[in-house]
Amino acid sequence: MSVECSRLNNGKIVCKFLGRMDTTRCVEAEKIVMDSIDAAEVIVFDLDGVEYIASSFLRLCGKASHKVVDGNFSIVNVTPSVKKVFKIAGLAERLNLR
Amino acid sequence: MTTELARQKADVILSKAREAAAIFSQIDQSHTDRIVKAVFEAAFKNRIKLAKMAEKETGIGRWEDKVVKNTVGSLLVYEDIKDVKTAGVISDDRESGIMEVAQPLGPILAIIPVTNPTSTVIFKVLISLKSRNPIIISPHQKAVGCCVEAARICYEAALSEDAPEDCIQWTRDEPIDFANFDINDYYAETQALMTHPKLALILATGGGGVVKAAYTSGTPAFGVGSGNVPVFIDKSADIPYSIANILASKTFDNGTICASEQAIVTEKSITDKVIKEFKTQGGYFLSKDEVEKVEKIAYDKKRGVMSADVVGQSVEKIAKLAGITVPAGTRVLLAPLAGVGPDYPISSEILCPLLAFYSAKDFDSAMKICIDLNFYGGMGHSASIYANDEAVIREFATEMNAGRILVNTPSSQGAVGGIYNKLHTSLTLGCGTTGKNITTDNVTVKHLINIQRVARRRNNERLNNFDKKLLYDETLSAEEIIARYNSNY
Repeated sequence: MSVECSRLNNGKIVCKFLGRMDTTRCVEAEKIVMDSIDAAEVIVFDLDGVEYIASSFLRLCGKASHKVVDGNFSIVNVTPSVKKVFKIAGLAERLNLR
Repeated sequence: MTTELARQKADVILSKAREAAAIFSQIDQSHTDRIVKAVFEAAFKNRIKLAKMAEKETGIGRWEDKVVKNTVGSLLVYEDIKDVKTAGVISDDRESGIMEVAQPLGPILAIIPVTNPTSTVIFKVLISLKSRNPIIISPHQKAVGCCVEAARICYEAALSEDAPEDCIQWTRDEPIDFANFDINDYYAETQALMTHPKLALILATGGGGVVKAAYTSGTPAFGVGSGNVPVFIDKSADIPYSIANILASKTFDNGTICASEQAIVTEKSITDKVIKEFKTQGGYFLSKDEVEKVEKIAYDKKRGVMSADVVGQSVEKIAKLAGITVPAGTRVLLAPLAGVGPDYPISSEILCPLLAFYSAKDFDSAMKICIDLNFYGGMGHSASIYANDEAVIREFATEMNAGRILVNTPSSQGAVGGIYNKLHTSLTLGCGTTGKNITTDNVTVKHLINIQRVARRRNNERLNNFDKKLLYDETLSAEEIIARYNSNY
């Protein structure tokens, strides 16, 4: 399993990603995430322990962030190397990387 | 296309490229090497198809020779770079305490020339991916179709090894419809890319205009210079061997490589032998009248450069254009000239099977002609010598201003490295500051990484043991202080 999404009582969805998010695993993760975040008010991507993300993961972040109003999407618990990816891509601020 | 539209297009391309660069930053050496291997294999597999496409679309050169160029750009480049460390820690010298860490540069814009289109695409893609940089292919307007196909083949292969999406992009999808083409659109598009703040580097291979645009864009750039390769045949040379090599090189792809021979310079004492050997092996010496006719079609006096009509064309076509008749089987035209410069148009760089020919009274006079040729549009590029006298080779090398001085070697294939010598295999040949470039190197992966140096503490023992109060003592001479600094060392 590449991701587990859980819905909290306050309309918040937390998606916890697991392992290496390469292109193949992103395909699987995207289906799970998009099925889980419908009608969410707040979305949090938890990347604790994710050491690698592929291009398709950046795309998934973009898609998910558009499901909620600005500021209600965030990414937490990134490793230094994954943080650097978001910074180089110029997406850290827009995707609310914490 | 307006400037604003060009800017918007550049924004889209560079945003994608920056995301690709971000993903590349996490990719380790073994993953990088798998991507590069897949790209090399795909490019090499398609070498013939791409060569035929290039000849058909550009109308320049010979597809059979372009197969060799594609082989150089894929197989030989791959062999040259495959074992180079380009990701993470690339060296660690415990004695000096210096450890080197390689970082990618970011998005690279690759300007592709019409003369060597597909081979240059393959080469630039391989060195960019090996250094973990995304690349944007900007083909010459007359070579869009073959360049895009080369880039597409490389991209699909890269993706098969989970390379970042958009790690290879190209500026146009389809060959240009010249009936509805405005060159200013092309310039605006290239300018918008070159000056884009997200672009890290330009690899500019092409004419003087595009290279100058790259260098003045504000983005770091590796460019090339024009060549005007003098070939000195010394009296110590093996003459039949020299002529065979010169002809093999000058006829290669109808002389389109910028490192191809442009002028033969020899000494009077061996001139007859050289002329005889050229004639035996397919050289045709033009009469004075024929030289004038060829000058008119080979050189664009208004622009002060070679005429595009003759670039990469066969001897037959050039003769027909000039209105002269040459014997069947002629491989190269030779124009005996009395001088170098604007009054002698064939003394400049002309990329087709045409050579200037000079007979000098002695060695010093020959060297002076080579220097004149070198300074007449070929500074920093390449020079060629055939000799078996080491002293002569050294003197020639000292007098020439050239990034590559090729000895007893076909210069066009010799300069690109990997075939006749151990130069790095490259289709971007630096020409140094005199050629308005930053390096004389054959540009390769080492130029496409930022090297961070980790400096561990290693004390300067002399300075540590030196009484630093002496530095403030004005009664001591500099020599005395230096002697104390070096004391017991």
